[in-house]
Amino acid sequence: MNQSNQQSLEPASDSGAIDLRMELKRALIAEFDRRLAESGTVSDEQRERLCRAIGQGATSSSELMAAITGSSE
Amino acid sequence: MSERVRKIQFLHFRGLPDYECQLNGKSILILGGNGKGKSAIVDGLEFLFGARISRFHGEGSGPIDADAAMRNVHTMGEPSVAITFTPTNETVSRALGQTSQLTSTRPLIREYLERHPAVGAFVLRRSQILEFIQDQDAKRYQKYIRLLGLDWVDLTQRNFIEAEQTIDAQVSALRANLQSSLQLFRDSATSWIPTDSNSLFGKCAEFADRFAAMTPTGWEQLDEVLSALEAKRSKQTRERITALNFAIARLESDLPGNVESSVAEINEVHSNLLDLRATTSEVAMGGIIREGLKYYEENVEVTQCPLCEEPLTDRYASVFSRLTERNQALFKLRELEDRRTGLFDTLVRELQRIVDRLVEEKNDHVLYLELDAQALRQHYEGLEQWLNSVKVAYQSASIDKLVTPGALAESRTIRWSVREQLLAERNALIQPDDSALERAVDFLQRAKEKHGRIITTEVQYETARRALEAIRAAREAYSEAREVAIQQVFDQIAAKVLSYYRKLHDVCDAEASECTNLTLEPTARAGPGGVRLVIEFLSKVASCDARAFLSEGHLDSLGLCLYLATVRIFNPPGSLLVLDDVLTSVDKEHRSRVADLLLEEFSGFQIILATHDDHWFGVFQSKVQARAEQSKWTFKRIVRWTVEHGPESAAYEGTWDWIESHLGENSYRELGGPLRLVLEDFLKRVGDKIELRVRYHIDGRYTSGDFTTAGIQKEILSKLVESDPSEEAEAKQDMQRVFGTGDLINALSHDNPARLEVTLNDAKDFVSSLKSLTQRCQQAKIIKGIGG
Repeated sequence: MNQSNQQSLEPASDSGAIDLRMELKRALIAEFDRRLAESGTVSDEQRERLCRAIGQGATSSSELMAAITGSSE
Repeated sequence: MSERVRKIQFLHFRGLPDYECQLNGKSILILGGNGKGKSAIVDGLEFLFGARISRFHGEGSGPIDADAAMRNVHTMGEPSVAITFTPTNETVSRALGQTSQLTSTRPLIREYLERHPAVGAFVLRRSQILEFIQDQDAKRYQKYIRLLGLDWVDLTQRNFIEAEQTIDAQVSALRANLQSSLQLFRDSATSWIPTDSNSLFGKCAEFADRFAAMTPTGWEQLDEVLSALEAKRSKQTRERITALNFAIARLESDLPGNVESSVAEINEVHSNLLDLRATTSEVAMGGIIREGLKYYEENVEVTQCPLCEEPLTDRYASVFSRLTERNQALFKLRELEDRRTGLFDTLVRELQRIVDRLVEEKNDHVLYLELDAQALRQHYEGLEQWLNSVKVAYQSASIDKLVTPGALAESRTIRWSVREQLLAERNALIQPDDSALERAVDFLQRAKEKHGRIITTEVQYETARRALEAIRAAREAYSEAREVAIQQVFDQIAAKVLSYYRKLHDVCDAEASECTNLTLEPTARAGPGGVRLVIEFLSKVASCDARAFLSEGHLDSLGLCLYLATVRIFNPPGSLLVLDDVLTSVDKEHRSRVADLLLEEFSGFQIILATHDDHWFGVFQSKVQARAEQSKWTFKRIVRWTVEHGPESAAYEGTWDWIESHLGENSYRELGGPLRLVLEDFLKRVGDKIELRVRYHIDGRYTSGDFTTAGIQKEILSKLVESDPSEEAEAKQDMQRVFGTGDLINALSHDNPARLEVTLNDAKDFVSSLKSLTQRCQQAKIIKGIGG
């Protein structure tokens, strides 16, 4: 069990689920962003677009491709 | 969340023909024996929020007719359940057949309903407890993901894989295209093939250096090199050789497109369409079907079908089901038609490109043998006619099975044979000394024509390749980040489960929890996988399956803890928590701790508890009183159930509230029953703390008379004086008012003239004295459930 990670996920308030889900999303995106940066094969623009797309929730394959290619389609 | 449930109304629903359950925004504990309608209340909540009752569906439900099971056998009216909220007083309801998600125009109610998306997330029944332990890893994972609303995480993971596959296919297609273009520069003598445009340019520069004595630095200098080479060629043959070179190069590249596979695909879709049409005769009525469905969905109260005007009471479900089925078939039909249209577009484009190519090649026909030229012309005309017939069929929608025209295969054969002839003619024209020069000219001319396209394809290929690398890295990064984030969630749940389990079982040294650690471990590393429930047993056996070591009762309480922890973490306070008889295999002491757990951890929730356990009901009431949380709870005893009337409750509920509200001039004479109840409750709880010789009752039912006969008054007074001698006088007065007016309860309990002699002040004195006595006993710690 990863205690240090667990600490960061404790809900700040008693509003329960929503806070925790938001925290989860934030943790997921932060970890994703960090690993993308480490990979060295993804440009800063691509990284930013991918994180933004995932921040909006379920991301379709065409949205993911658009984030990679930078095209609006 | 400020909205809470004020009341739940059931009409013609299972064993509840016309029943109302008042909560007034409070939590409720419902006591009732088997078959008294408790579970029907929980069924009603499941139906209201989820449009179905889970135990009537899925594995093990067999031939149950879920709709019939929801009807009340006595009234047979349309079942419905309604819930009214407070403070808005807004009501939402669901009738049988209404399957859409509950919603409301009031934002507060809409928010409330949105926070109760899945019934399984807040309703737990006895039969479901062990599911949390027994589930396979994959099923447990799916359940948690659904409960946690994390399906978007896995959906995105799948979409990453799909995006990678799509880009990978693009890269492969561009690579094949590039290789095909470079293949045209193959040197048959050495088998050399350029690897890319740079390598091609290098070969051009080599020819330029050798035959034109110049070294080009860019593609734009190719014309200059070619002019220099032209000057060195034999004037008599160079035009003919150049013409032959162009014709040969054109014939060496195959006709564009893949007509055969397009035709096969169109025929398959066409065949599927015919099959579907044969089973969907109402194709032309698609609009009407959609309208009908929409009408049904929006007008659940209608009793007559707007299309056939038949009564809907009996046939509604089957009509709706048929409409839904046909609507789905129509949707599929349109999907196939759209696909066939797309395939036709592709086919027509491919054919047009072939015809255009053949038109271009007509210019070279002067080089062909007359016989071949004639044959090619005929095939070209045949293809053009076929193209036109496909276009007409496409426009008029009178499409039948397509057959690839033989002219296409014939054209390919003739083109290859003509190429061989032209090659032979060209080679014959070239003098041995000139062959190297002519080969250089041919090569450079081809390079001049093709290099632009090759460079463009290379750029596209390189872009796609980089995109593939990036999406692959992103997919891997997402997969790893997902694992980390989900593991954090499961760690959070596991820590909560363990803390709850310890509250129930890790009480003191004499009763330490045997479950010393607990983890939820995601198992599959890519994509949706499983989650393994693992415990550490007595700090001795690490990572073991709980079922292998825990008793049945402990497994039950572990399942309950798993569920409650999930609810506590993921459901916002103010939302509902419904527990139906979930403590059957838990012993008396542990049930008491479950009551503490619920009161401590779920004080912000609105809880609906159903139990058949009289003892636990009493314990729970005591604990609520001890916490001074009477204003948050209401208690209901269902005393009987009849098919005509459904459940019938005791006349008085939420006893102290009821007493307070009836302690007035017009109603105090109705207080006999409730006062007896609170006095008995007081005596039972005190009796649990002090030693007393009481006559044994095999049915476990004791009345206040049993205690007073045994002299409980003296014992209480003695303990109170012992605890605080200074309050002896006041304590005696309270004792006198409560026990010295024993006839007060009897008088008020029965319809006899004596009740008229009881005054309002008598009743008030009794109530205030019993309350005062309860407080004294609390301070003296001689009452169970209060102050330890």
